[in-house]
Amino acid sequence: MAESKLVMLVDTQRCIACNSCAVACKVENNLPRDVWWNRVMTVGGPHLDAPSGTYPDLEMYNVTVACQHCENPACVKVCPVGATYKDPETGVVRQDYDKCIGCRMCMSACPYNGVRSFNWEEPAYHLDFPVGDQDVAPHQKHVVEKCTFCWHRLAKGLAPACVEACSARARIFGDASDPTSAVSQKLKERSSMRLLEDRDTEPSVYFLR
Amino acid sequence: MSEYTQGGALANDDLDFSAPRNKERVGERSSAVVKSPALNIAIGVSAAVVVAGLALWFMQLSGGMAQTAMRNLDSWGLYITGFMFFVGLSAGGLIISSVPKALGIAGFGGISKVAVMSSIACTVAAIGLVVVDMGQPFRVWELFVYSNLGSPLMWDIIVLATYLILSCAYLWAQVRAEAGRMSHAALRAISVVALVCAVLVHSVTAWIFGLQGGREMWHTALLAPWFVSSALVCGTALVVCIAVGLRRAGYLELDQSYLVKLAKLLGAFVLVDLYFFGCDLLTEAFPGGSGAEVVAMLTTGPLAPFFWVEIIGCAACAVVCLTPALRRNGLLVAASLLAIAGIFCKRVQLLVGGFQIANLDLPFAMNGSSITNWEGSLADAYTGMVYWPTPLEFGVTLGVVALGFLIFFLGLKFLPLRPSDQ
Amino acid sequence: MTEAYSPARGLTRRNFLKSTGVAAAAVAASGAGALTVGELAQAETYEPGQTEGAGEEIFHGVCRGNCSGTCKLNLHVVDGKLVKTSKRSFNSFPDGSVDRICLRGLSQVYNVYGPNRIQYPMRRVGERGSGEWERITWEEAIKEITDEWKRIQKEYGEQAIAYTRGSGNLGCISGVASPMYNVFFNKINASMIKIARDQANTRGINRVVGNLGDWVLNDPSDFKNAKTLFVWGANITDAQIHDWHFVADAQDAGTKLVVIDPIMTQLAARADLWVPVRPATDAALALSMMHVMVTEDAVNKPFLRDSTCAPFLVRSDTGKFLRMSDLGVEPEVIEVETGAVSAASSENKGAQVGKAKTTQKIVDHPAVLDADGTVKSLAEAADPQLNGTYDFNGVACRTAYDLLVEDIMEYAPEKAQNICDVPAETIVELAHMALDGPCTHRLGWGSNSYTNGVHAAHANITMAALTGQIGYPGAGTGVGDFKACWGINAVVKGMTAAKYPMISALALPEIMRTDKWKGEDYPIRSLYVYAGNPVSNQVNTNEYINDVIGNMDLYVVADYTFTDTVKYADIVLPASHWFEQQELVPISATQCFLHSEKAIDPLYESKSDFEILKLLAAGMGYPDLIDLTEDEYMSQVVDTPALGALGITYDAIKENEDMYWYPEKPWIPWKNAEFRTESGRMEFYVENPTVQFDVGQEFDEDREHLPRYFNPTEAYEGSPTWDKYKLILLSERPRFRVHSMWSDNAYLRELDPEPTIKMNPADAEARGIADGDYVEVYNDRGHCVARAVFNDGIRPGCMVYPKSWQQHQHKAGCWSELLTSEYDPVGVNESYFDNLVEVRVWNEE
Repeated sequence: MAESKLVMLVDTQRCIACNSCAVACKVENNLPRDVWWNRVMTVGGPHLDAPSGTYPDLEMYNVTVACQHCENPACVKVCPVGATYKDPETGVVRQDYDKCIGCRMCMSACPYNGVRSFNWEEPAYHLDFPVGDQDVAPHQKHVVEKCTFCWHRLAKGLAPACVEACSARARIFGDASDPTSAVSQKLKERSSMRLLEDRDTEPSVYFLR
Repeated sequence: MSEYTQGGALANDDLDFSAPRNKERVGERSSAVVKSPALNIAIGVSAAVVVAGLALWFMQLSGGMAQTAMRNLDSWGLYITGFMFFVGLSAGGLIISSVPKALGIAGFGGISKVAVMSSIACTVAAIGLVVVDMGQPFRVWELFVYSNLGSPLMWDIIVLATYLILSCAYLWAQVRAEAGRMSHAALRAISVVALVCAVLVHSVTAWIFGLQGGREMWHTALLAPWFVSSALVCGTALVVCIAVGLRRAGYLELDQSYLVKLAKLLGAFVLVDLYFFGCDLLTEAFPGGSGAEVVAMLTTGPLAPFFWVEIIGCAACAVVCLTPALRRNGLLVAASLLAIAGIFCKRVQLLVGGFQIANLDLPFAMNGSSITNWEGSLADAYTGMVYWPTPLEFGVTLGVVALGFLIFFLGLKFLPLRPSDQ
Repeated sequence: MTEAYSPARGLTRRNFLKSTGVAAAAVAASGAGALTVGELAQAETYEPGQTEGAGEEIFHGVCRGNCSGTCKLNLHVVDGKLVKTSKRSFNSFPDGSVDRICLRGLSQVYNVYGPNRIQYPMRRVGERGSGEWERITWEEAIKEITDEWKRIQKEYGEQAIAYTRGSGNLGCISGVASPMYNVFFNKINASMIKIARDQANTRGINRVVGNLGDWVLNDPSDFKNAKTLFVWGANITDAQIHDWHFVADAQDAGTKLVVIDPIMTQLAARADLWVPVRPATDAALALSMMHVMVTEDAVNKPFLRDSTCAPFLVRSDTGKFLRMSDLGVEPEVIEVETGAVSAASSENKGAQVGKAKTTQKIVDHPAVLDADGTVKSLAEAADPQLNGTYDFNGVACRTAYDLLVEDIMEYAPEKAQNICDVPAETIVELAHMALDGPCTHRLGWGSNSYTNGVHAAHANITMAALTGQIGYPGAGTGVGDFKACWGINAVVKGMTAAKYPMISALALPEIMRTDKWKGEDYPIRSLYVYAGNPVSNQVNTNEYINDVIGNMDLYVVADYTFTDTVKYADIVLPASHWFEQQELVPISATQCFLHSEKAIDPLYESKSDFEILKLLAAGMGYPDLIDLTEDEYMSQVVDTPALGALGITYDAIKENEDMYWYPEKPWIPWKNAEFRTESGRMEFYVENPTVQFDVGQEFDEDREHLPRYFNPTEAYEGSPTWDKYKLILLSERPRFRVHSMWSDNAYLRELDPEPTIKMNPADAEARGIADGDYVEVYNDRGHCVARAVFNDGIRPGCMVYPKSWQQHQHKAGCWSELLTSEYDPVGVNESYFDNLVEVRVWNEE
């Protein structure tokens, strides 16, 4: 099968910071307490949902930030044991919990601060049974984890949970190597930006403007 | 200056074992076990602290690294700061010891072996600090099975291991050479390799940071040479302290001229290091923008205390080292300690500075694993230092440092590190 | 219900998860999202809809809190446990246009299994509110409640037992649309206490256009047909997340978005024009826009003439229309069918729901001026005149339109700009945009939350009369379309008429203080609360706790989780969660009947509200009162001839999961300008104003004829409490809760951990408050402590609190303590925003 390049588009005109994607990710992946692979950030003032400027000359929009699944991932280069690696067929940057030695080199290398999350203690949960998809790999103490593009869902032919959960229809997911795909079309139609493009990481997450 | 050029003559080559014999009082035979109550107490105390540190480390492993102040947005802390620092410290001894031999120039008297011993001790401490920083230390074996040779961290692990082995081999070679069981050519060859490795270990350690485009503070080509110069500063300073200390303790005799030589070297190294710092600051600040933000963070921001301790400490050290009238033992030790403290402060600036400036400084819903000071706004978290270690981290670090001391003291006690009296 | 799990491309879970390379990746390349993506190269390998994992069963469910979204959910059950909730597609909308879920729908699992679930019946042992309980059996609980009820009824009369609800379940058996409560409580002749919320805009609009339900507007999928969408005080991006994508779709289609809101909401941030209006002045803004329309002679005169009361002559002596009977013409008598009333409608007076009936109607035509200057019956005039006067035996009469214009002329943009704090040019621009139709005006709960709210809505709908933009694609004015289906039947088996009239919740404190209702003795001694949390969500909490609960002999609360209301209960009954029972949801913004399966057994000792009612009925001596099954009752509710004509039956709903209840899509109310008023026209001049709820009040009829702007009770500069309090306190219905539901959801609390008050930095700094300080917000009614969060999007002079934190989540007080229980006599509505407060740093722990 031909190589594909899975990308995520997030329409900043549509994103209202409702956090449904963040919660979908949290539950789907049975994320431990205080772990959020996908976070909503306000581009505006110093707080969530606060605009920049002075009333009434104000501006605000949102970006949702998770692993950018970079084409040129800083994390993959630095991992001494190859626990974080790039899937050659899909471009998804993956993380092998069993291999991770917990050195956190990838966290230092990743410019997208906070998308990589270290389990600083034994993962604790709000409920005493695993919620979400039962095929999600169990979380481990003292290893780094992050957004997997819902690898377990990709395997079932489903888009990541955040895409399905976005009631604003702000997220589009697909194969950018296919010029006829919705993502390719959208990228042609709309202007877009990526986070920290000057870092040359070539993220696979595009923000439509 | 004249002393230095004279000292550069071949007459005092370390390799010429007759030379030191003329200038140093003969001590006990090197191979003999030192019977000093002070040393025994030092060993005992170090060992006790190591045990305490181990206990704390197990606490960290079982209770979780949530007990440290490190969090997702400031994911490295005191351990990695200490790692950088001890790698640097380890340099000095080996370089001081090997440069004269490798280049066939005058050395620094009988401190060669002690200096190498200090290198070994510091290297062990550095490695120890990496180990305690790891979340899964029991998976260390994976480093050798799944090695990603593209990772600067992997390079560092390889170079550091090589360095440790070489340091030991070099020490052994010196002892063998003293005993006349090894050719000077062989010793010289080993010293060349050791020297190259010493330079490499600092460069590679620098590259762990310097190759990261993700952090403004770290991403500079200057970092590797700068790490070497910093290593020379604190390594030399450490040798000065050890030399003065051991001489005072009666462990060895050392002619003052060697100390002066070391002091002059230290002064020169400090100036080079400060020069690099100046270059770096100017390069950062000149274009303005985010680089200026880095400079502001250092000079007037949360890291200013560390910045100014380094600048003033190093400057003062240079003044003491390069002013003949000030080269008194006490002042030299003080100057060396200032230089060491200065370089430690540099390491703090580098590490914390890497996290102090967020690439994505956008508010999000923070929690206990996001960032050390998460209980206010994002701006609050970055007001003051983004990271400050917990007592546990201090304790574990102290334990690892004590391991370095223990090894050093054990070396003093059991290894023939005194100048040979042949 | 469930589809077989077919591992994609033959990969089993185990070998897939272990593989790190090519095989798995090849499958991943076909990864596509249900409905959203679907255009991937290998789309043929992907099965739409949910794919079950091994050992997982999926049930269909409905989220049914009062955001009104009623989204369909997949309930994923593994080993008898609900492990996940996910988006489920609507069969009624195969294009996926209403498929949605939100952070609350997604975090349901915690609501079911969280530690705050009430596990067994409990009896209070400490002081009320002390949180000291003892576990009792169901038998003990029911006996204790019913014994006490019998005693109370004997001592104080049958009416002394009352029941009330909130909006925590939109179901028709155990929820707010359930007739089962009426079956039981009517049987014992108890009093029904009706919540008084979000009724001002209902009154303001429905008195002009008639009643199709409390909140009526073009379906949101029609927004895209508007040239401009005006959103008046509706925080759609927080409170109705499910509607936002329709707004975004409309913007994509070229619709301009105008947001009129004092606060920079996420919605306002996306608007083409944000109009930061002074709170409670929407009526003046609308009147001023109409001023522009009138002075520019841009009004839609044919529409005014043919479809509104504009040409009707109004008598200056009575304020009534001049009728042909005044002129000596006998009224006609015709047969008409009155519409059925939905269970959730304010017209629902108990048992009379769902019954259409034929009555005789006397038609006394209004008199109008014809083009020739003569007065004629509306039915006969060829060209009724919009302007003019008529002297009727010495009584001056003017056209309704002239009276309206006279009112409008008070609000020139130059004057209105001082009232609304909107520049005159902007008002002119808004008027021009509103004229350039079609435009849709969606009103929210903003203007509705002041005591002048009836008139804000009245003014808005009157603007539609001036432009004629109503009843066709892209054109409409109203609150978001959210109501119960009109065709359901509440007269299920066992239903009897209520003996006592409903009582507005706003009247309850006074009744409890005086034991009198409209001057008559009317003691109430016990209140049964279901699907609601009045302590948290009703205004003036201290009054509620002291005067209402404080005067109760027995306060019984059935809920699935610990709420502020449960905290004050004497007996707590553990209700089961939505997903632990079967339900049919007849109230929906999707205009669908929705069936929700029972996915798991009731946890602990909990029972569905339906089962609880049966026990209570038996305890009161009516063991056979509720003797049909849930299915049978649900069938009785929806199997009506009217719905049957649309092919909607209970069995069909159960089969299809969801069934759209209108004959067409998108639904647009008031098509062909057919209104449900007496004249069939838009009666912006309200001839006979009535009140939303009769609490024995008096009101100024003259004021109510036309839309007027006047100050609210408290929330304006110079109000009676202005010398003490200078900040208007507004709330938002945040996306992290649905009213107080989800307030204890740990997933959402990680994102939104504690009560906050959003302040403009200028207001904070003037009071010495730093960002992040804990502050005490206070007025004469109470106080509340929360963390101050600086936000430049908050209008200076206002503060905004995200609503419905529970008392224990505050360091002290709670938000609803601060809210006025004053109400407009016509709207009889809780006026959440009509409050002035002050704020200071809180230094206590």
